[in-house]
Amino acid sequence: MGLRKDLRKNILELGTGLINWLEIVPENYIYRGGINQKNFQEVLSSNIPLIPHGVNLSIGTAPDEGHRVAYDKYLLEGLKNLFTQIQPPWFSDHISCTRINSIYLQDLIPVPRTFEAVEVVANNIKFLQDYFQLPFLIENPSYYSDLIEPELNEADFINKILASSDCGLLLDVNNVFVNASNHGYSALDFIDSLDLERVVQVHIAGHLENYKCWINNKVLGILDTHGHPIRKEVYDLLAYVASKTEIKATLLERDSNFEDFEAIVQELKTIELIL
Amino acid sequence: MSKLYQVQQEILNYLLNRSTDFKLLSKDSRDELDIYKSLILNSAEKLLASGFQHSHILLKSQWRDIIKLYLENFPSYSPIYFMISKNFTEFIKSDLFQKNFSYPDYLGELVELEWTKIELLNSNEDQKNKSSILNPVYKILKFNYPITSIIAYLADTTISLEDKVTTEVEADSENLFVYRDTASLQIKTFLLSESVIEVIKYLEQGLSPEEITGLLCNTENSGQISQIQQELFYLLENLKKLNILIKY
Repeated sequence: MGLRKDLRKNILELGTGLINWLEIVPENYIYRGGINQKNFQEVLSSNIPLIPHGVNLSIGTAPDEGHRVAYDKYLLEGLKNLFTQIQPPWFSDHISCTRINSIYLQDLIPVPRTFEAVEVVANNIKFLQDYFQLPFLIENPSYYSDLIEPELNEADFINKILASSDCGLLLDVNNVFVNASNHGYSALDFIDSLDLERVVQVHIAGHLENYKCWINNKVLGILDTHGHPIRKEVYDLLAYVASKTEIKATLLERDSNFEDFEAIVQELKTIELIL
Repeated sequence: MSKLYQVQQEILNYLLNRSTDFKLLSKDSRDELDIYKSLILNSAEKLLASGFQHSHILLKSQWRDIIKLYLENFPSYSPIYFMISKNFTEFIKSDLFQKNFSYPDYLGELVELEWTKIELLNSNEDQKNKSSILNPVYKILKFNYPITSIIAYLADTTISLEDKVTTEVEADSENLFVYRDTASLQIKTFLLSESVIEVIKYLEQGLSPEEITGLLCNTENSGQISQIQQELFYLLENLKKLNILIKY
C-alpha cells in the first residue's frame, strides 16, 4: 500500500501479512521534524521495506538552453538523504512534467509524445540514476490531452524511453484502463505492445467516472483519482499482466476515502488472490 | 529553443493565465488543459484550507478566486508543503490580495499565526538547539488583535458563518508564545504579558532565577524583592509544567 497519513495506524496494526512493503511519496518525508518525523520513524522501526514513488521529479521537463537537465537541487539533496536512510531497492516517478521554469504545478502534466521528448526524458532519467545510484522506474501516467500532434503512439513512446534510459517500468493498470477508455483504444493491445520484460512494479487503483470540469463544463469519461473502489476490468488487467510477466511488487494506490479500511483490506485480498 | 521547451512554456502560460498568444497549443488542447487547471485549483484549495482553516472560514465565499490569484501570481518554487504555505502567507500580505478581496483587519495576524503553527509543527530546528533551556521550537508573536479569542470564535460551531464574517473585532494587543510541545509534539500557545516576555528573554540568555530577579528589581526594598522572587518561582514552575522551560 501507499503510506498515507490517515492510513498509517491501520497499516501498522495490520502488520506484514497482506502488506509486505510500503510505497511513500518521498517529497512528504524530507526537511520535516516533529510529529511527522516521529511517525515516520515509527514506520521505519516496523521494518516494513519502503519504496519511494515521487510526483515531482518532473522527468519530462525540457532543460533551459545550455543546460543538461532541469532539476531542483534542494529537492534532490533532501531525497538523497532520505534514500540513504531507507535504502530502497529502486525509486520511481511518472512520465510527466510537474515543474516548468522552476515553478511546481502540483499536477502531472503530460509530456508530448515526440522523439525529442524521448531524448529529454531519457537524459533526465540517466541523470537521476547516476545521482542516486539506484535503479529508476517510469510510470505510465493517465493523461487527458495529447497537447500537440503525437509523433509516437503511447506504447512506442514508453518503450523508447525504457530502451534509451535503460530503466524499469512501473505499469499502472488503472492508468491503462483510464487512458484506453478516454482515448478509445484496447487496453489489452496496449499492454501487449509494451516491453513487458521491463516491468518491475505494478500499480492498481480506483477511478471516478464522468468528471465534470467546472471551468468549461465538459465531462471527462474517467478521472484517475485513487479514491474509489477498483473495477473488475482493472483487476482483470492486473491478472493479464501477471500472466504475461513476472511482477516484483504490486501496489494498491489509495489517496482518499479511507474511512472503510475493511473494504481496502478486501481489495488487498483480491489482489493477493489474483497474483 | 527546442519545441518541447516552447510547448512547456505555453502550457505554463496557459495554466497560470499569463498569455493569450499560443502558437503550438491548439484551442482543443487548451480546452483539455482546463481539466488540469481545475485539478490544480481543487487540490490547492483543499491543501491550503487544511493549513489555514480559520482564515478559510472567514474567506470561504472568496476562496476559489483567492487560490486562483495566488497560484497565478505567487507560484510555488518548491513541492514541499510548508514552503507552499509560506508562499501563501506572503500572498495574503501582498497588495495584490489586499486590493482584490474583502477581509477583516485582523486577517494578516490570523494568517501569521496559522503559518507559524505549520512552520513549527514541521520544523527540524530542535536538532540544532539542544543546549537551550527553553523549548527548542517556539516563536513569540505580538498581535494588535485578540487572536486567541478570534480563533475560539471562528471555531465555535454554534455561531453562524455570516456572524463570523461580519462581526467587527476591536483592536486589543496580545502576545503569544507559540511552541511545539516536547511531549505531544503538537503546537500549543501561551498568552504572555510584557513582563513574562522580559523573563523569557533572560531565559533565552541562560540566566539563573537569582540573576533574573536581580535584573527585574530596581529597588532595595527586601519585601518587594522577595515578592518578585516568589512570582518568578511560580512562573518558572508553570513554564516547566507547560514544557516551555525544559532544562531548568
